[in-house]
Amino acid sequence: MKLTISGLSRTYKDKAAIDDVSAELTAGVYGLVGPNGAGKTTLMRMLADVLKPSQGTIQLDDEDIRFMDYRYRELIGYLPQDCEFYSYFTANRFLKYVSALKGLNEKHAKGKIDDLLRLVNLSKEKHKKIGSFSGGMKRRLGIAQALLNDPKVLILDEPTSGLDPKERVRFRNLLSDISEDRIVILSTHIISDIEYIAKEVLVLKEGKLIIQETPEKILHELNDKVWHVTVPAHEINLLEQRFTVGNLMRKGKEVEARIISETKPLPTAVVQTPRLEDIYLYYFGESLDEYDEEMEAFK
Amino acid sequence: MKKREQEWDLPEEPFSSDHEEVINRLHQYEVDFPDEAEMNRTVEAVKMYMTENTNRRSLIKDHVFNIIRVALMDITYIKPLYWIVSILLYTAGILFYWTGQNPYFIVLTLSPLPFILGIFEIFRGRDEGMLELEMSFKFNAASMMLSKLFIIAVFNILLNSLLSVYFAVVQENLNLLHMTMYWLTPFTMVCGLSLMIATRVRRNYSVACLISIWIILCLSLLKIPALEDKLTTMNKAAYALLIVLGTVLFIIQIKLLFSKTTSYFERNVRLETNY
Repeated sequence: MKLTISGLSRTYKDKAAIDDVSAELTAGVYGLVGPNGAGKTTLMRMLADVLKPSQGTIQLDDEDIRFMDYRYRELIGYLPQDCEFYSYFTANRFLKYVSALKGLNEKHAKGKIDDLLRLVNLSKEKHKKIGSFSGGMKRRLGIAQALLNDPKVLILDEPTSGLDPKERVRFRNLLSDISEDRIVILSTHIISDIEYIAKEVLVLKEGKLIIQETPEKILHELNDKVWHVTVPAHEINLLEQRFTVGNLMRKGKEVEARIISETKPLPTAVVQTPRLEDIYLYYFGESLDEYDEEMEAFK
Repeated sequence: MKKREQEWDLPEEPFSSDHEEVINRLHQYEVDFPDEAEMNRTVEAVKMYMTENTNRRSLIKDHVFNIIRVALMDITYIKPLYWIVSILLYTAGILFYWTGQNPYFIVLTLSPLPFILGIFEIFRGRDEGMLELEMSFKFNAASMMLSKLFIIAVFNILLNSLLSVYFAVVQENLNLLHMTMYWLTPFTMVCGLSLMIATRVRRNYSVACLISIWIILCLSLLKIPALEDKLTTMNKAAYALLIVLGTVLFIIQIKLLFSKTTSYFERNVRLETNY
């Protein structure tokens, strides 16, 4: 199974949401990261055949998905970032509805629905209306519907938003189990979702794919570039002007900061082992906390 | 393998003696051809790797088949309230007839109402946030919209036809063909207009607006009996022309609906280019 993205672009008027992206994906988990507005959702939509590209192609096993039409959609499972469900449906009825639209055999679907509800811990809520579900429960239901047709390509846009840490761990383990023989593309800004399970990380910036590498290679790239410094509180502004500053922690009259610099920024700086979330700092000049604030403001 | 005696046709060019010896030896053995079951299994196994015929005719045939299949499935997922309210409206129409109302006026008023109410169902996915997900399914949002349009239009036509037949039976001197053309005219026009408005405006507002305007227009007819007479006595060619115009408008709106559905996320692309 191979998904080939060639020269993919999607423009709106004179601006490119996705600009000449090319990648080849095989079985395994791929993490798609990038700041708000980088083009992640646009790319996910094109992969899910919800949005047509302006240029370029997407091929599954060397066949263009435009010509495959519903045969491609038969093979994918998609969970959009912002997705509501019919509130008057029960969880069971909703999954039956989705299984019908995915062209699944009714008898086969019944067993599958029960298995999936158990998997996402919604068995007890099977006959409750979706309108009474919390955000996390709806997200879990969304994951269940994406897996209904045993997809060969699983496209998940921010799947763990709204899930508590325990559910996120369950979800990670689930992805790890199922990714052996399918392509899983996971868009997230929660790096821990992909840190231990991603085969490769794709980093998008302003519509361009700036890196597609294994997490190990990315971390290797960041070696000797992540530093820990302690400065007096009144110097923090100066530090932020001169360097890319990430997490700050106040300790009395001093501030501890994590910064990215090609060379030792201060004599007292101590080199740190890079973490995958440092890529935000390195490539986008912002920490995950700043990114989270932006996301909240955007909502 | 077992020995057999059948001879094979040899090529005309002479072989070397080594080749001839090999050929002669091979001739002594029989190769069992696979049976039908084995051949079928092989064909099934490699079928998934074969590119399907993508010629236009077979794609259209596939789409039509899919729409019918989705329509049969969709009937069970349309809210029961829709069927109930529509049937109740027509029951009320029959009751109004027995209070002395003009059957033409009743059929005219009721003719597009089930379709207008059906707008709730047709655009449910779009307005309840399911459109993006439904677009990614095998039978996608466009197929579902078309199948719901088909179901609701057929249901509406069926109700109008049944009501017309009923009036033709109970009322003397009522021409069924004339009555059919009488309700078909506003039905096609209003369906086209309903789609045009609902494609652009959220269904709650568009349905409320359409029903209000339609009821007001119909009540205005009651106030102007001369106009009602004129409409009832129009010649058949005029009806036919208006029906054709209404049908063309309806078809154009269906096409626009699909192009709007597929480009629905265009505005979200705009948001993602905001850097």
